[in-house]
Amino acid sequence: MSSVLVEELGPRGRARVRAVTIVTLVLAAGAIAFVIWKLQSAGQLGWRLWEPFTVGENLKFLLGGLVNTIKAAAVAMVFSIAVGFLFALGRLSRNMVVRGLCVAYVEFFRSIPLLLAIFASFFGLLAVGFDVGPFTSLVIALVAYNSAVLSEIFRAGIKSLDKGQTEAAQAIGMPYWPMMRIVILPQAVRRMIPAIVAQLATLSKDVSLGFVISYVEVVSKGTGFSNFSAAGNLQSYVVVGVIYFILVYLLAKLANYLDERQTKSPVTAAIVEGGDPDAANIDTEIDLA
Amino acid sequence: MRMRRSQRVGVVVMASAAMILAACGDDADPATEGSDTGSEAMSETGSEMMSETGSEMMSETGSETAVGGEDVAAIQEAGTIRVGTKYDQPLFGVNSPSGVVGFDAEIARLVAESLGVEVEFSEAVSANREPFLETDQVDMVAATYTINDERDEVVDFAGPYYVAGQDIMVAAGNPEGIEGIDSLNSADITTCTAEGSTSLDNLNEMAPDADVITFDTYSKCADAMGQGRAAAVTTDNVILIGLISEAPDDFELVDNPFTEEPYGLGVPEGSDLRCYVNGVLQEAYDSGAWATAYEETVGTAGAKTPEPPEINNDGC
Amino acid sequence: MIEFYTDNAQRFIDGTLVTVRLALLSFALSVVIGVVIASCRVSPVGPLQRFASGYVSLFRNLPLLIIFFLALFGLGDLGFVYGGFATAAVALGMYTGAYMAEVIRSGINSVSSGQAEAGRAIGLGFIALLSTIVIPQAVRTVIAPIGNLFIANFKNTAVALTITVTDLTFVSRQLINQTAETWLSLFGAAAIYTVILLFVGWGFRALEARYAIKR
Repeated sequence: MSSVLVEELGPRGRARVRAVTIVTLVLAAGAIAFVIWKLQSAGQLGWRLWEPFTVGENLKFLLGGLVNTIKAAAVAMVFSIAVGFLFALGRLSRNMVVRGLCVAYVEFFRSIPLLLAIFASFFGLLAVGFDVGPFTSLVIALVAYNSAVLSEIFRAGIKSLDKGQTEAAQAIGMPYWPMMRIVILPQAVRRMIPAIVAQLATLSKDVSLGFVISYVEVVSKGTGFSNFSAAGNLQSYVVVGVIYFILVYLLAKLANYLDERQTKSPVTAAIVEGGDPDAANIDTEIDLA
Repeated sequence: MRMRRSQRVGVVVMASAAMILAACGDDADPATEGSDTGSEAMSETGSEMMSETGSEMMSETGSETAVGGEDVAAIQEAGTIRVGTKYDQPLFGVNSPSGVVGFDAEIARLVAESLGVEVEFSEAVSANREPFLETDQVDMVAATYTINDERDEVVDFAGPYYVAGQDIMVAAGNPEGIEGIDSLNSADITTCTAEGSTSLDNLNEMAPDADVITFDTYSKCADAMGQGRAAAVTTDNVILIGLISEAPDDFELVDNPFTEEPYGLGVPEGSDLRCYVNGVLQEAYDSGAWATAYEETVGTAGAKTPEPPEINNDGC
Repeated sequence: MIEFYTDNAQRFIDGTLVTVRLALLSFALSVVIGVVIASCRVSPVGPLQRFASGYVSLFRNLPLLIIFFLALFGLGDLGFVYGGFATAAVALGMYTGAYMAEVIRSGINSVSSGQAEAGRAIGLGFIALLSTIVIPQAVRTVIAPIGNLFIANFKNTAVALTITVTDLTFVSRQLINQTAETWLSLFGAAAIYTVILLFVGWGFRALEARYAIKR
């Protein structure tokens, strides 16, 4: 692979690698066989338990949940980007009070669990008389949470531009806002697109937590199968897991593709070259759930 | 505005007339009351100023039985009744590919049928049932909704249409020898129930020393017991019957209920829908529609069809 | 208001202890898993590389919630019945471990190939090369991302309440249900999380300032 550690192997090295390969394959085959045997003896592989997931009508029902998952993720993402942008700009603002408030917001939502934020926007709003329903509650919590993460990504994106850009703009007498709008943001936004897509993948994983406030998404529909069919809980988790895997995998692939296309482009490569070392943290930061 | 109001009153009159006919056909006794209401609704047509406050005044006079006022008319005008139901309660309300099914859903359909409107279901979870009604997001809640004083202060209940009792489910053969709630009051026996449920509150109150684990649904509790993570699952007996019907070889019911949970149909405080629904329920009791609904839902799990509970008609 | 917190102090403390224990245990496990998976990924053995990238891909593309359910009920069906806390610690450790492996790998790749070549020139084998030259440098470049992972892992412990773990968020929800003091219950938990994680963030920044290699 891309590692720096491995050199061209000699005959002894190759033999050793071959031996380890064989041992690994045997162990892996053994592990898989063990799992299948255990599942079989627990009766979890019976076709009766899996068959409900092959009925067209049931699949439509399940995919309805997936649509809700995507809907919540998409709506939350749009608002998170908008709110995140405001807070990123606020944090770069020259007004100390604005900056302080934005820092407090971002730090607060980066240090509480998303689940707690979901409870707050559901039970908390209920307690003060707003029954906005699970969808809106979930979206509010996701936006509060993700806008904090995104604002950090945006801030890093803006800061990662070469200082020369700002200096050049200032040298020709551009005021702050036109400089942001014409010079900085167009470049920064372009660089952030892969990170935003990657965050969307994380966000769609987080939608699964909506089931604790009974937002009817793919997990709640999937786990509901045991209520009207022969399927058990284990089967539901596996099927829901597969659906989620495909969704998140595709989004992550898209993010990678966008990222690669960008680093290959000479323009962005040049921008990255002269950038702030902090920018290196962008990728690792966005990965976290 | 003027036009709409008189239209609405017209619907009231028609509905009243229909109900009088229905009442005459099925039940001799409330016929006199029925005609009483009819005349009141008639007089309402004459004096338009009454229609805004009409429903309250009528319920104060206490002469309304199973006849809708303004709220019923509004639902009929809209053509749909919005009903909050559980989506994950086997036998009572389950969101399935073929729509919401279960006893609660059937009762809601009976009400809709009588009103001549369509049903529109939305999910009601335990925590949002009262706000759902208070903020007018649904017209009625049919969601294994236990009638109690605390809730009665903010919403009104039609019914009860079913009386459940909290009971205990154990592994087949009852290896721990659990006989009732007192057996659970021990740190050695792990009991599973759902977080945020009245079942949990009852358990905490009646067996304070119990070792409790909670999941979001009872089917997870059943799985947990199947794997030996819990020795007992406690909640309303009908829910347990549903779980047992899925795995009759693994689980059994202790059958020693220790609470009484009368299920009611929640309506907004002061709504005239309550008395109307009571009328529908009484009719369903008499016609056998209630028993049919029960047999087709809860009955499929092997529960014997009970006598329907007596409806509380206070204030109707 | 003060009364609410004094009355329920013990429960908040219990919840916090569960959260902290779960966070530390799962994080320790994630470091072990991360090192093993990252080593597999950079090893010359084909199946190990594929296993490692499969592992990372699997755990990064599944919601933690599903992993918890599978770990509790799925493993239970295989005959491995462990309590909610143990299951959560292992499942969360495996989840964070996938991210950890990626962080460590990026750290390893940040060590210039010239150093590895120099190591081999003086006769170091693969393991010795990793442990004496590459990892000590890699660790110092990944302090910040590991700090982020620690914080993410700490927050993710909350999801364990879905598999019976009575952590801080669980306590908060339980108090909401029992006392109807919704906002006080939420604020109590939020304050504890925020204070702990602010200190953790500060600690990692201090570590970074002291040890990180600036390139």
